[in-house]
Amino acid sequence: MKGRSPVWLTLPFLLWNVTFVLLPLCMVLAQSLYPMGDDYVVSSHASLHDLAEAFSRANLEVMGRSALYAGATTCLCLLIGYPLAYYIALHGGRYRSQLLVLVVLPFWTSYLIRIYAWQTLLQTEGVLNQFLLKLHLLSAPFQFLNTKYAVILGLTYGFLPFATLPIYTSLEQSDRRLTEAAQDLGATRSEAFWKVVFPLSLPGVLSGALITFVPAMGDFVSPEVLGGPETQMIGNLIQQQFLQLFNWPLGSALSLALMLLMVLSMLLSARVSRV
Amino acid sequence: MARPVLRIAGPWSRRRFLQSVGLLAAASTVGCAPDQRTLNFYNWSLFIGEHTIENFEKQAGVRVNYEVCSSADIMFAKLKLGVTGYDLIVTPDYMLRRLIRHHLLQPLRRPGDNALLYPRFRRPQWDPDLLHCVPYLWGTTGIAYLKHKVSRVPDSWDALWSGESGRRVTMLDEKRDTIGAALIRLGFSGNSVVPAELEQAHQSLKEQKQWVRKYTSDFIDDLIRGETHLALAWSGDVHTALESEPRIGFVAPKEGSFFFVDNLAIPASAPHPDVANEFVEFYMRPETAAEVTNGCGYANPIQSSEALVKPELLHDPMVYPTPDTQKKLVFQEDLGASERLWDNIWEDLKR
Repeated sequence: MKGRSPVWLTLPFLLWNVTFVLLPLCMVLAQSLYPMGDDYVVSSHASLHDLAEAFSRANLEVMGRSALYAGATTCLCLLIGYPLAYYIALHGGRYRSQLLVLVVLPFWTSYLIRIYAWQTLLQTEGVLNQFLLKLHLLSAPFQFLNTKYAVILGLTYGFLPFATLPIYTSLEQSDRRLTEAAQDLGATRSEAFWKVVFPLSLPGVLSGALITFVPAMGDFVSPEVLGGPETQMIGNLIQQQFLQLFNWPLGSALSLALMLLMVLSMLLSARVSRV
Repeated sequence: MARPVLRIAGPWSRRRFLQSVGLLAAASTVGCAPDQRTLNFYNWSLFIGEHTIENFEKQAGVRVNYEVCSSADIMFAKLKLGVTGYDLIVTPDYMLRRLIRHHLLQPLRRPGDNALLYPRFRRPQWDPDLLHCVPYLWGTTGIAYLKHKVSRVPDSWDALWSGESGRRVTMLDEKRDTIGAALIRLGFSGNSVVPAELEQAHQSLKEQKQWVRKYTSDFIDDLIRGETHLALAWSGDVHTALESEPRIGFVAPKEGSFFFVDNLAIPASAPHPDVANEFVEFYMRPETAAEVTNGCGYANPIQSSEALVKPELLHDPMVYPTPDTQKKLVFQEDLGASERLWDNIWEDLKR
């Protein structure tokens, strides 16, 4: 037995992936090739019509918008998540694990319900507006709801833990003696951070960015609940094709387009991490 | 005085996304003997009387599972894809023809008795001899508004386009109602399949978008919270909402509008068609129909039930529109293959 790698250990995983990822993916591809004809009967002639339609100008605009919202979400998550992870990893002391539990605590409630809660917080007569009015930061209630800001806020709130945890892991594993060495050699605290700690945590930042960006781009709950008619994302488009317009072929084609976008962003990030 | 921020209980949209009523109904039936006859009823949320299910269970000795449906399109998709298990569905007039065309319904055991219906519903164009359906409840599409926020009654479709209330308008997330309203406003048929007319409606909806908060069938929620002041609305939902916010008004615009009729029908794949037929017959009794109307605020088409309907409903033009208003209302027709044109507009509007 010695020397033989136990490949069979991966068998359950392979079986799972072939059945529930690869096969369905092939079905999605096949479905996208047979466009919907009149009166909701699928055509029997294969065509690339829907795959081309998925990349029409109007749909590309929606994909661009999705990427923009997801990008803004990723930036915000990193800006909020990095200091948080830094504090917990380096200054959390004996409360570290409790603090980490607090980061993932929101997952105990369904994402959908939490986004609905934001609707109540953001409404014209909601808590946020009342608070800002009391502080005289606003003279009249602001319409937060059904704007792109509300959508990005919802996404940021939802995906913050995804960004925080990988950064935490990479900071927590970094060798603290390197910081001490930098300071011994005359670096100020901020120099030590920017020249030593931060570069070493970059892999965590990058993976945090990726696992925020990819699901945020495909999200449809936040734009559905907090957005308006001008802030629909690609996920909403797909959902609508499947459930409202009964156009599964075009819905499948759009799903493939979304997957392509995700693969591209992953390739990009793999490339960045090599540099 | 600030209004409470959290609203725990309140009225429900007929097609509400988060459904708990169905769950409750399903939970209440757990514990019945497994060999009992069952009726799997697929209906809109709160689209039934308070005791209707209970009464039918007792009378027929069956167990009813009330499953809530969120959209007619999803209902069609489910049936078309071969999802089985539903014995009885409630489906809109325009969808009924499509379901029949796709062989997704089975004929009723005995055709519905046309004579029981108000003359207007006796020969419905979607099933003139009531072979596949019985009209269940009907309502009006119109404009709901907050009385204290508008300067005058918004009795024209223009109110939804004028921008007078700013960005405080919602339109229904149903293409038939929203595109239909745009068509009627422009003086066309609300069931038009003329490409040039549809294109004009499309452009006008695009112009309107700057005032539209969202396309939603949950319009009541936003009105009660004061988020919106005007909404393309279904009459019965508004009526139910008055309990939480009495300052909501409803008007069928002077240019005309839609009747919508939801019908009881039995899917071809129903596992218990005999129980479903029993329910259809049970429903056609005046006392049942009246009980449903009294419970949910939608008018029913059974003429003899009138004596048993609460007078405040019967005389409420929101529930039973005046004959003058009724003259301006049209049914939503099946569009056949031309529905594609509507779908294309809808797809473009919502992206």
